[in-house]
Amino acid sequence: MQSQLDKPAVEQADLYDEDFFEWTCRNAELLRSGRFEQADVEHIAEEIEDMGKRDLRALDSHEEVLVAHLLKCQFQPEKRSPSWQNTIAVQRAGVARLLQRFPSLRGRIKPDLPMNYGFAVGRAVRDTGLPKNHFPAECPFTVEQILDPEFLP
Amino acid sequence: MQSQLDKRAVEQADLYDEDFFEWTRRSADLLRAGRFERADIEHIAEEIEDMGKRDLKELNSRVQVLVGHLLKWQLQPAKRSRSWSSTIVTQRIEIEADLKQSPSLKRKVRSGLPDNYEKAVRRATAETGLASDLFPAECPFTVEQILDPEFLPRAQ
Repeated sequence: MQSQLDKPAVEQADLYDEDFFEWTCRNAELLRSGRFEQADVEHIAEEIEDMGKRDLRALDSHEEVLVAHLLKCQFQPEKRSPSWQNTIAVQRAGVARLLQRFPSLRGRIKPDLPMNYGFAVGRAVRDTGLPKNHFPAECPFTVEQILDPEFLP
Repeated sequence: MQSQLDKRAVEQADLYDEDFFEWTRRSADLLRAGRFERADIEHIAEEIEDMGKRDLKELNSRVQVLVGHLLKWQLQPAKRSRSWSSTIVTQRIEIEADLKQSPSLKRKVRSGLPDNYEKAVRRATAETGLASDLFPAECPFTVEQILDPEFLPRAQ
C-alpha cells in the first residue's frame, strides 16, 4: 500500500488547503526523513517567512504607538500625563525585547519609519482631535531618540 | 565573499536562537532555492509541527469550554442563561471552523474526549461550586452530540 508520505508534492500542496493539521504532521515528517522532493516546500517556506513577518508587525505596532505618544507629548504638552509616559516606557520596553531576541529587526526600523510615522500621525489625530496638518509631514524624531529610554520631546 | 546562505546548516541552527527573524528569512530563501543541505531542517520541521499543535491545543480548549457548559446546562437547569447558550453556540461555531480547516482533527476530538472531559469537569466545578462527584465519571455526551448545533442536554 502506498503510504501517505509517498504521495507527490503536488498532492501535499492540496492538503495544505484541505487539511492543514494533517499537512503540518506530514511535512514535518517528510523534512525529518530528508524526503524533500515529496515535501510541499513552497508552502513551508511561506509559513516560515510569515512567522518572521509576525515579529516585524509587532515591532511596527510598538513603534506606531510609541511615536504617536511622543507626538502627543510634543504637540499637547499641557495634557502630558503619567499614563502617556507609562505608555511610552512600555512600548520602548517592548521594542527593546524584540530587538534583543531578533537583532536583525533593528535594520528594519529606519526604512519602515516613514510608513509607521504615517500611522502614528493618524493615531495622534484620533487621540488629540488636532488636525493632521498640525503635525510635521516627516518624523521629527530620529531612530536613536525614539528608542532612547531618556528621551522626551 | 561568502553569502549568508552559504553558511553551514549548523550555523543556521545557531541563528535560530540568536536572531529568529533573520533565521526565518534565510530558511525560506534556502528552501525556495532547494538548498536543503544548508537549511536548518530540524528547526523548520519543529516549527511546522508546532503550528499543528497550536491548532490542536486550541481545539481541545474549545471542547473543554463547550462540554463544561453542557454539563452546567444539565446539572443546573435553574441557572440556564443567555450567556451559557451563547458560549455553547460560539464554541460550536469555532470548532466547526477548525474542523473545516483540518478535518483530520475530528479524530482528535474523539480520542481526546476522556482527557478533555476531565478538564471540563474541573472547569465546571470551579464555576458552579458543585462537588465534583455530582458529575458523571465519564462524559455523558457523544462526540456527535457535542458537535450537533441543535443538541442541548435535558435537566437531570
